Amino acid sequence: MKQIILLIFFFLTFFSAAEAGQRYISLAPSTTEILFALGLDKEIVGVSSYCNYPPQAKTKPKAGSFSSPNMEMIIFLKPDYIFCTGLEQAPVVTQLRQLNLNVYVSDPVNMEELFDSIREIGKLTGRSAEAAALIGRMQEEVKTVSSKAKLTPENKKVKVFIEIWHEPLMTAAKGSIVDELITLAGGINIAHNLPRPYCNISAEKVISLNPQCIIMAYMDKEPSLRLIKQRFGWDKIEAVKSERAFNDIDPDILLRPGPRITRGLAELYKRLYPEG
Amino acid sequence: MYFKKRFVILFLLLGLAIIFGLIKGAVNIPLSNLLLGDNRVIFNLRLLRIIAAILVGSGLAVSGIVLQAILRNPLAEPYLLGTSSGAGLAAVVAVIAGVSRIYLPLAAFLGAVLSIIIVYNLARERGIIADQSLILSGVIISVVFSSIIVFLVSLFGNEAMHEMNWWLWGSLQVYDHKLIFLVALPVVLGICAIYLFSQDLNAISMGEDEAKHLGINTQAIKKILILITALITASLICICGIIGFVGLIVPHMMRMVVGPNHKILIPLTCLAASVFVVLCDLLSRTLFAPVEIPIGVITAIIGAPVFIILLKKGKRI
Repeated sequence: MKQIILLIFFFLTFFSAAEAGQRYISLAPSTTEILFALGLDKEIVGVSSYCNYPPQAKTKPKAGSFSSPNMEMIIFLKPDYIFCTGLEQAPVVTQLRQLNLNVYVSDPVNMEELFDSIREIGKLTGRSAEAAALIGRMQEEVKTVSSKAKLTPENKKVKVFIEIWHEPLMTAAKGSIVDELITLAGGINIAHNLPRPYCNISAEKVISLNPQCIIMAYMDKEPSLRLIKQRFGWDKIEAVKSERAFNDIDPDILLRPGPRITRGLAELYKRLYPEG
Repeated sequence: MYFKKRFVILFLLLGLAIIFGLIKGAVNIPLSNLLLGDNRVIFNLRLLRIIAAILVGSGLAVSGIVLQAILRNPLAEPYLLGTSSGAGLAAVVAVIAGVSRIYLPLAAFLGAVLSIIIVYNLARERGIIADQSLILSGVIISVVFSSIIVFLVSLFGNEAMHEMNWWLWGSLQVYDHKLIFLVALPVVLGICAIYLFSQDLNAISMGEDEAKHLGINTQAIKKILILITALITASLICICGIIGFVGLIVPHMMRMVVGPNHKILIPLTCLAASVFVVLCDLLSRTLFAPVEIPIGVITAIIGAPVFIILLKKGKRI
């Protein structure tokens, strides 16, 4: 009996010591936001130079840029876990693993995977409760929008063109998280059936698909309509005629698979259905 | 004697460059702590990078010397034979095919070798390699392979593009010591082999006919040397991508400084190019730390002015 108590005691002290000293590095803006949302401010010892939210992230030591983090810096920061994203960071992940570092890759392509990812990060960092609360809040926000959106009859649904970049013209199709957001907000993504999640599209195609609303997911000081009206032939598009082109949604909340994406969803809904 | 003095000076410079490379980095650790405990890993990382830098510097520069000499073309450089685009293409294809990233260096190496074989056979006519046709076929294969890369990138998007960027920018971020030693073998052996041919290189660089009159089998030697440089470049490319300028400019600089005798030129260029790349790498990782500047950018920005100064000075004499 005494031994068992000692053993339990030993484990307790061991784990609490380990918990207290955890050190995390986040190399993707999305995972940085998730870690901060889980209240891991103190435990985050390094971020990438692309991590701009929350404001505290900017005060953290920089472990290099998004696509080429600085290995020396990372090792120096002695992380217990490093959080990355997929695709663009695949070469980085290989290098980190070669150096025997623990890496968690969060690369959600839809809301369900994003929730799984947050749950997993919560588990890894001992913040399962916070993760569950965050997921609950986000699900609630999704529901608020989608329940309103469901009331829109099929023939009244707004056809949306999401412009990821202008030159070359790029959009998002099925398999991208923003495509799911459009559906949740009760819109129809005109590019839904393109072969790749992020795909080039010709201006011709956009004109022929005639979207009723254009969302530009990048920052530009120019008013969105002026930018679009300059394009040859775009004045025929319904969205331009009815002056419904927007570039005022922060791309970081619309495209970044993090805790703020539900706010992006709410903003998107407001643009699609301004009357509520 | 003159040669020995320069040799010693360059050797000391290399020593200094290595020491600087070891004690300076993205994080500032006092020298006394660098070998202790956890910091050992950082020390080892820096050491690996320095070894890679020395291999890349000497390998590329010596390949440059050889190609410039046997093709008698001042613009000849190690990537002339289409190795860079071959390696890039193979890496992109491997990524798209879903091959584990651990095998990418192997894929790149095979791609580079494949492109060399194609270029070599395109250039060969009746068993003779004509200089012009070798250069031209190299250019053609480079263009074709690069177009295929761009084609794949436009079809498959992101994955391929990031791979392409990595190869084009070049980087000395290699943290796999086994791979470095695997690459060191052909590079070091290749340089030694080339050194054995330095007398023949002297003759060939004067003109093929002159070399023939001296009783040198120019065709055979050319073929051997082309294959050795190709092997060196292909091995290097799979650890560090494409690092421009070193193979083109350093040989010219050294020729201006020590003259065209390959017996002297080759060892001195090895040292000078190593110093150059180690220092460029040091700058690339410390200048804007923790963000790294691609090393190709640094080699060009530093190399070009030095080269121009030497060129102007040489003309005046």
